Order: sequence, then structure tokens, then C-alpha cells
Amino acid sequence: MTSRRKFIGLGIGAAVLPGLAQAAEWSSMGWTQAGEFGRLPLYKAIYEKAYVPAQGFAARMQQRGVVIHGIDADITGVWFNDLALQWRRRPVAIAGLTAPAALFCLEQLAWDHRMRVAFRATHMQHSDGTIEHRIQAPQTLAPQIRPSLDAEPGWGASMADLAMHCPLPGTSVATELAVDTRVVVDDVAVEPLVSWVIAPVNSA
Amino acid sequence: MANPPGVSQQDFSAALQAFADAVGEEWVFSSDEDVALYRDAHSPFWGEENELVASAAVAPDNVEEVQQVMRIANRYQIPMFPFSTGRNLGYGGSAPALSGSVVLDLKRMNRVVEVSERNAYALVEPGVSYFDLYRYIQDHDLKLMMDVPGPGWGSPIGNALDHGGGMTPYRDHFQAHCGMEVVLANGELLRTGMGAMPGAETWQQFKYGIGPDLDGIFSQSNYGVVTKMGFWLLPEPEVVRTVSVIAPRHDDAGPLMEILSNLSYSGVIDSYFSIRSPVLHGPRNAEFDALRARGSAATAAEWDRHAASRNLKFWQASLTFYGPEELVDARWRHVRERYSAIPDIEFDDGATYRFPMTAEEREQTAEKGALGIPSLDTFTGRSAQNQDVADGHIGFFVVVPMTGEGVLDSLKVLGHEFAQSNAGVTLGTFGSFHLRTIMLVCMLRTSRTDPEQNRLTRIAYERAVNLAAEHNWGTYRTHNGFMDFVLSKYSFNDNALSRFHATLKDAVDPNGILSAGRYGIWPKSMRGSA
Repeated sequence: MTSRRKFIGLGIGAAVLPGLAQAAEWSSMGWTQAGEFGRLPLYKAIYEKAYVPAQGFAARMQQRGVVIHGIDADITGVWFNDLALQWRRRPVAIAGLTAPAALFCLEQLAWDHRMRVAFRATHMQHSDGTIEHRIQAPQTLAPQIRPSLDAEPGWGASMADLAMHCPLPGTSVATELAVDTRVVVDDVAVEPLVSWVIAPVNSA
Repeated sequence: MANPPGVSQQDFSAALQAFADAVGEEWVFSSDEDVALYRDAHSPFWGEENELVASAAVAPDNVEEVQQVMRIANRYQIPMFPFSTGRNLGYGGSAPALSGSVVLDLKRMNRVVEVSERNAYALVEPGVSYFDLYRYIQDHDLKLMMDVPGPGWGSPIGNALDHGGGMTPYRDHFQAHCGMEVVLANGELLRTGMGAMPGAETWQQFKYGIGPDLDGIFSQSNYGVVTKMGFWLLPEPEVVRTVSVIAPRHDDAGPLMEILSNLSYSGVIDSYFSIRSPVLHGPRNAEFDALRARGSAATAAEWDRHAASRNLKFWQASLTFYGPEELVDARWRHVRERYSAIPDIEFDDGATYRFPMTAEEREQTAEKGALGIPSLDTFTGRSAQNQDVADGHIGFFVVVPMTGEGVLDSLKVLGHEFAQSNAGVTLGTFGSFHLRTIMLVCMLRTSRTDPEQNRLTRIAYERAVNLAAEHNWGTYRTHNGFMDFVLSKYSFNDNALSRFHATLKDAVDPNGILSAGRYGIWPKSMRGSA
């Protein structure tokens, strides 16, 4: 017996199309215009309040109209009070920039609702000031990854852009990149951070 | 997709189709991508040839479907491995004990069948998580408190069947259960205790029914699939109080444990307590390492001088009381009176929590476990018990005598052993998760990216089990990958226990289709080759 499962954003209808100004900005960064693929509608973006890149991630998400939720390491509240109820009604895509533990928990819980991690990036800060980004993403995002990491206002916001452009159905995770960026370190993360998207699986 | 061991491709394909006919095609999973979700996220064999993995998964929705699945499995001799919510991380998770088994995913069976506030019990299916039961209790505004283990995503049934524990007076989760419904390997449905009397309203009140008390054989075993289980709950207390007793010297361990044991046996302390040594659990330095390396040759006076140099008291016992405030006050007063016999003893009155709590209080408290509130805060970051949350751990909980010698010897012996190991073992506190019992909690790291870490962890675990057995200390629970090894330490009378397990197995599951290898119990066809 073979699986008939495909990877899509189940139940979220058509992709959200950008406005003209937004499309222009994305175009300047090399993002494909809406129509080829659009933005993945996200129910919520979760971010680790303690870390500056995560704050940047959240700010970008909020700017793009995504509801944000900050955590202090513990995902229990957003899980129990929100996602557990929502995913039981209807699986919806979420994104985040958090410590690895939060993604571990949400990924485990998402499997129960036939959802998968569609995008995963690990950000490891080294003592010499570099940050190593290891990104597992659909092949179609590959051209945007390096330029977006160097873009202002910072890689946290860039991860938000990448997450929002995580493609819709049919694209499997096929690319893994390692990129080092040199940043001015004024916020040292104790542990690696992760950016991620969790989205539903289609059973059709 | 590999076939289960001993099963032909033809039979496996036919069985999968029969499963699909029974539960619906969308609830049978055989693609590599789907089956990979059932890997043990904390496996100490991750990515290696010995990693225990499933061949397929079946997710029934109700008891009748479970019965059909068992009959199909018997017909085609398919090894099955049932799990509740599959979150037994540190002990195997949703991965089978026999690689290639078809996992029986019971998460869809997630009904809270009944909760009685008046009689303070719940009856649940295996897919109900602690979060689910807690939500039910809150949504119905029931004045009941659950007992919860570390992470709240586990199953009360799954946790109890693996002898897990928590903190309240109902902390021994298996002991706190009352009544089971079980699907046997041949598909027959059994109810235990008063459940065997049709219509009895006391199924969740009186455990024993009539005749032999069978429930224990379904725990840490492979004799049946539990499809319902009752649990006693605590009526919401007026207060919960967490306190501490602090003793300054090395040799205070003796009287500390003697008094604690007596208070526990007499019911004055009737819930979880822990013992830790700020000195022996504390940060190491050269003097500490030298003292511990000398073992019994290091004197109490030397240890006391070391503690004084670091401005540390030697022992801290943390206790929790539940109930009406006047009774809690009386118990704590009595405990202080008993411990006043130890010179220079100190007491910390800790915190008192009053019920009902507001939603905000429940969300913000740092002591969710003691208050019966499920949480995932155990995953929130590095701690003494959880060095690397990004990957995982296996648990090594050692049952030691409730004496000063038991506490001191196990801390020093295992502490020294783990200090020599490169596996990064975390030596935790002593916890009383079960009645009349303390265990030394140890966590060994696992990794999904570092096979060398896993190799060191496996070595450290086996050395620790062997060393503990040399001192007549046993572990109460173990990972799928070590079950035969751990059971081999329970060898009284030429392994009479293991032989009896096998006798039962042959009687209730002659085809050996259920959880082969779980806790070292193998079907006849696999004994000797396992």
C-alpha cells in the first residue's frame, strides 16, 4: 500500500496575494510575484520574547498581518489555550522563531493532526560573532535564502519573509543550505534558535 | 517498507488490506514518510541499525475496531505494538520493542468516558492525554485535582501502565487506577474488578471484584490492549503547601531518612517528597572530586568541612501537603516537632496555594506538577534534569532503601560512576513517586545528530544498571532497547520471574502477536533467539 498523502496548506483556501507595494518590495529581493506562488496564510506566528532576532521575526510577521504570540520558552499556554482547540477543529499553518524545545513539542503535537514541518532553519551563534544558518526548505525558496539573510533589518525578519513564502502543495523539502553571516552581537543566545513552519498534510 | 519479522509480503499486504477494511483506509499507514512519525524521538539508537522501528501503523477509533485488528493480526501472525499517546519519551515512545512490528496507534480513542465529581474518579480511553482530562475537568467546573507526570501530553493510561508517578496523594498512577477494560490477543473483551459484574456502579470504586486481582499483569507487559481505565482523583483541596526541611551535616542523612520514612509510613506525609544534597548534587570542584573518588574512605567530617567551605547545607527534603488548611498546619507542625531532634535543623515554610485558583494563577505558577496542572515546561530549557532539550534523554531511576545509608551510598557510588563517564549524565534528586519508595533520578542524554553521544550513553546506562545491581538496587522502568538486559537483574531462583512471565504469555497470547519483547516477555516462537 502506498501513501496518497500530499503536502499542502489544507483548508486555508487560496493563497493570500500581496498588495502592489509589498509585491514591489519582494520583487526587489528576487521573490517571485504573486501568481506563480503566493504567500502561505499563517494562523499565528510564535516567537521567543527573550531574543532580538525573534522579536524582529515577530515584528515582520505583524507587519504582514499575521497574528503573533510571544512565549517565555514554554509553549504550554499557546498550545493548550489555542492550538489544541484550533487544530482539533481544523489544521492550520503556523510559523515561529523559537528555541528548539518549542519546535520539538509543537512538531510532536502537530503529527497527531497530520501536520508536518514544511520549513526548518537552525541558527547557531558562534563566539566569533558569526551566526551559522542551516536551512531545510523547499527548492523553490533557495534563490531567496542568501540575499534575504543579509537584508535589513536583520535575519529574524528575513526568516519571517521566508516562512511566509513557504510554497503551497507539491513541493517537498529538498534543499539544505548552510550560510554564515557576520553580525554585530548584542544579543547572545544561550542555545541555538530555530525558525520553522508547520503546515497540514492533505489526505486526498 | 520492510515486512514484520517472520511475515511474508503476501500475508503482510493482505493484513494491511484487512486492517484498512476494519478501520478505514485513511487510518492505515505504511508509507516511509508516515511510518517515520512513529520513531522514538529520544532513541539512544537513532539512525543506527539497532534502532527499533515500526513497519506500519493502524489507528482504530473504538473498542470494536481494536478487537477486529487483534483477530486480523492473529490470522496473519502480525506482531503488533499498541501505544496510547506515544509520548513515553525516554522509554521508547511510540516505537515498538520488536523492530518491524505494526504499531497500534490508540490516539483516536480519546474519549473521556465519565468523570464523577461526587465519587472523585475518571474513566478514560487510552488516547486521552492529561491535557484532555484537565480540560474536561475545567470546562465542567469540577472540583477535582488530577495527578500529573512531567509532560502533560502523555496518557493517564499509558503512564500508569508503565508505573509512572506524580506528586499528589494519588502520585502512584498505577496504584491510583481502579478498573480496566482490556482487549485480549484473541480479540476477546475483558473487564476487571467490579467491571466484570454487568451494570455495577462500583467499577471505579472497588479494585478487586472477586478472585485474583488481574490488573497488574497488564502493566509493563504484553498480555492485552487496555481500552479503558478508571482513575481515582483528589477532591480539590482547600490548600496545597510546599515546604522544606534542611539539615546541615553529612551524617544527618540517617535521622533525616528515619523520620521521613516513619512519617511517610504513618500517613503524616502522604504525597510526593524529594531529597537532594546541595553538596553531593552541587557543582563539582577538585576537592569534591577527590572526596568522592575515595568512596567510603572519605569521612563525614571531611565532607562537612567541604560543605562548610562552600557555605552549603548537606540535605534538603521537600514535602507537599494537601487538604484543609487546619490539617495541613497540623501536619507541618508535627513534622517540625519530629525533626527538631536533629541539631541545627532548619525549616522553610515555602508556599501555600489556595483553591479555587484563578486561570491566571494556574497559568503563572511555577509548581504546576504539585497542583495537578499539566504542562510542557519540562521542555523549556536546560536544567539539571534536562541538559539538552533539543534532543532527548533516557531515564535511569534507581530504587534504593529509604535509609540514610541508601541515600548516601547510592549518591556517592553512582555519582562517582557518572563522573567518570563521558556521556554527560545528570544525577538528579531522590523522589518518592510511589508509596513507601524513593528513587534516585538520573537522566542520560540522547542525540539525533551525534551517534557517539548515543554510544557513550548506552555504555553508561548498562554500566549503571550493572553497578546498581551489584548493590542490590534495581530500576523500575526502562527503555525498549534495554528490557531484556534490565529484566536479567531480577534473577531470583534462576529467573523464576521471567519463566512465569513466559508461561502467562503462552497462555494468553499463544501466537505472540502483542508487543513481543516488552519488558523481556517474548512469545514462544522467539524465545532463545531474542
